[in-house]
Amino acid sequence: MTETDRPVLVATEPLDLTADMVITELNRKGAPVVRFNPADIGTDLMVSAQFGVCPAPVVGQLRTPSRTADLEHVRAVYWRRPIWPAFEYLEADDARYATAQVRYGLGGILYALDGPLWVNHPLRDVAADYKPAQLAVAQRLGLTVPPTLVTNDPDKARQFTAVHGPVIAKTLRWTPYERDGIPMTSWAEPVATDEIDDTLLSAPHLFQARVEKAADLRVLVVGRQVFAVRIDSGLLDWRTDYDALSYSVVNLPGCLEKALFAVLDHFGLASGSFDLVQDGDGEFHWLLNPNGQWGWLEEKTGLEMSAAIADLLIRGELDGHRT
Amino acid sequence: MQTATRTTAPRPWGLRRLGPYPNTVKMPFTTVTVDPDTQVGVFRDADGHAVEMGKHGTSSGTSTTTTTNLDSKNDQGSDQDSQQD
Repeated sequence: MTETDRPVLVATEPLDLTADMVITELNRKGAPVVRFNPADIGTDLMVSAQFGVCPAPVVGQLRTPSRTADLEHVRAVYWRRPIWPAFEYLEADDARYATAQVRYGLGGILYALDGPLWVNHPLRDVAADYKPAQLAVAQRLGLTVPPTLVTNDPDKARQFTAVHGPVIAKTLRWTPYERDGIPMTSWAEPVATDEIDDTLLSAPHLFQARVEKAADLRVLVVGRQVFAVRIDSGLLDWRTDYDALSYSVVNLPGCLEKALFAVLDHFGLASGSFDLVQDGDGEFHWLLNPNGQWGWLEEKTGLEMSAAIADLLIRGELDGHRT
Repeated sequence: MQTATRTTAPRPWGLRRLGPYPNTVKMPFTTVTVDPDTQVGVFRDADGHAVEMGKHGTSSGTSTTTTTNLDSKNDQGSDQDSQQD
């Protein structure tokens, strides 16, 4: 790689087929790629940056066994699914120290760069990852939000369920969870009022009125490109049976697209995916998921999503104007 | 009050509503490394033979989850980076 090449950094773990799809497109388009995983810090991942020694505020390099990136020339950062090192082999305090140094050292160097386009910036992703904030922003920006309650008060939850039922419960944030070695997750199932008890007190929970839906949509926005896929299933939660799903590419109303752009702009995200529900009257309701997966939708629909992300990374800036 | 809450409600209500993923598919590889030339993942089986993954497991679609699943672990809007926050 020559110095004039402007690499795209791809931060992710080795097992990431969606990133592979985007990297394949970047290769096809001739853009240099430097893939790294923060967990490799050590001989397989070396980073150096200098401050206060050049006209440029930060100069340095990030090196993997196969590639070197000059940090001041980085064109874009595709922040996919990086794993931070846990240093399990160290004592707890030592591990906490080491982990923090990597996050604030490697992460800090990358955050210091003002050149690259981030898809997406991890600190922005973190800020966007609060469902109550998403709901308020969505409504403020013109999206229809189903009646939703976040509470740890069992009485409030029972009242809400009685008034707005059928109601479904959703996690406020997904975490890895195994029971007897079997991975578990939350599923959209109706909540009966008498199921709510005082165990609600220990943490806030999210309750949402169930929308009588005609179809689900998963929408990927890349810069100012919109890929909307309608998912028909007849299931309350389409994740329960992928074999039962059928997919069709749809166009969204212009005002809805604008609202989704506005949500991404509000959170400072270059790309995001959304779950929407369309009711029997054709109206769209906002559901939560700014970081949903899209890789299998490209396979099912032929939509050129990974190419669009590659183009955005190569361009290194958002098209269209921020509003 | 805090003590009382902890003794009466030590585990959040929502944990009871978790359920297993409906089906899991073991992905046909044992190791994955990054190809130095292409920077994409190279998957090998136990015998060291390269395995063609295609777009399998880019979600859920072909491999609804678990540790063997590839992407659904952050299908609900998460980023590994934020897990400590």
